[in-house]
Amino acid sequence: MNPHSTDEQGRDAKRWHVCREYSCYEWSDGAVLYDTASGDTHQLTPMASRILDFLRNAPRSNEEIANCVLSSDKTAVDGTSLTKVDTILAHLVALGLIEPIQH
Amino acid sequence: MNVSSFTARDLARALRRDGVNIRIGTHTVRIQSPFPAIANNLRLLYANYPLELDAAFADFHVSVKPPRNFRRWLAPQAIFRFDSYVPFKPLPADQAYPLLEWGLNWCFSTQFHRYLVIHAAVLEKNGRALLMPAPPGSGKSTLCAALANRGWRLLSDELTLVAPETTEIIPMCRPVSLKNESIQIIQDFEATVAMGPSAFDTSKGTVGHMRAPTDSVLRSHEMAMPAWIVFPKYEAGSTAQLADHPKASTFMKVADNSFNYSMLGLRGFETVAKLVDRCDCYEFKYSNLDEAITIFNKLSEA
Repeated sequence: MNPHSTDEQGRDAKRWHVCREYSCYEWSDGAVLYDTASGDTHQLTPMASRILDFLRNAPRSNEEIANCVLSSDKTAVDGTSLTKVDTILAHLVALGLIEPIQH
Repeated sequence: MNVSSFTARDLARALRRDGVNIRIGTHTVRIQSPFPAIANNLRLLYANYPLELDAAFADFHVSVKPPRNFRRWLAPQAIFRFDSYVPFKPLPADQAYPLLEWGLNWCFSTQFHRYLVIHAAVLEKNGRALLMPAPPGSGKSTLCAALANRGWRLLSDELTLVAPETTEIIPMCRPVSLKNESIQIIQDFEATVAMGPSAFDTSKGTVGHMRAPTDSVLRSHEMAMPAWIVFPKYEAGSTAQLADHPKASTFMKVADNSFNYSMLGLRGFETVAKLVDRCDCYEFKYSNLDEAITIFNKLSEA
């Protein structure tokens, strides 16, 4: 599912969670992740890795994730962060690592 | 008893009959071949390796023999066998020795899954190992041969074996395979180097093998802990330059250069991650071997 395909209202309401078992190693310049089910390895940007961490702790909406990013990275700018979050979530969905919570 | 303990005639006879066991570091390979070029090259390039005639165990049993058909006489060919399996098409008989070396690379890279096997040169200095993963044509073997002739201990010019539990590097010190211009470059760089005869018109061009330094062969049982991962790239006319390379990207490149990363699954992932984690990672471009060696020596002293 692509988060870009949702409108603003839908995006705010949707909450994401991690749907795969994985192992991850992080460095300051990025992270690598091993998907235990598929055996695939993925390279992640530092922010993608952080977002995955947020979602591992609890399901969150785009807005909540953007707030987590803002509070953990004071250099991030409000609007930019939300756009970035959308893009990263789309990428994580494409990798099969996260999915929306089904109500 | 070493390979050089045998006369050329005795070695050729033993190879032709039951074969000989040559100890390469912590592993043993049993080789059979009637080709005189194999006996001559082994005697020159493996002179300091332990040899056993009647050892009970070998990790691999390999042979390089002519086919039994008319190609034995007409446009003679050589066939490499691992036990009875033939992994490659026959090659012209004058490529019998490179075929043996390529066959041994195949054995180590396809059979040794207790290790992570990376397509990388590896050398050691002051107890720390330098890994150089790189695709063909990057100047990896040339740089490796130059370093091995300037005080770095050669562990392998082609295959790096990493113990998953500890990330220790297991030496697999064998002759360094050089191609085309690199053969003359290394002979000019170090006049005392022992080179086997070149094989021409192979799939890789002209191929020659450089004998590994004696000290590296004698210390083939000593493991080394990895300290640096460097991606070398020969660029004509460039000034030697070492630049930081991001760890996550290093991970992906090391995994790409590994023969059995996928086969090892999570174990492979964790091994590469631990390896990258403990190493400083760089990309390196060079055109001059002396400049390159100065930079690597400084790195080893830091």
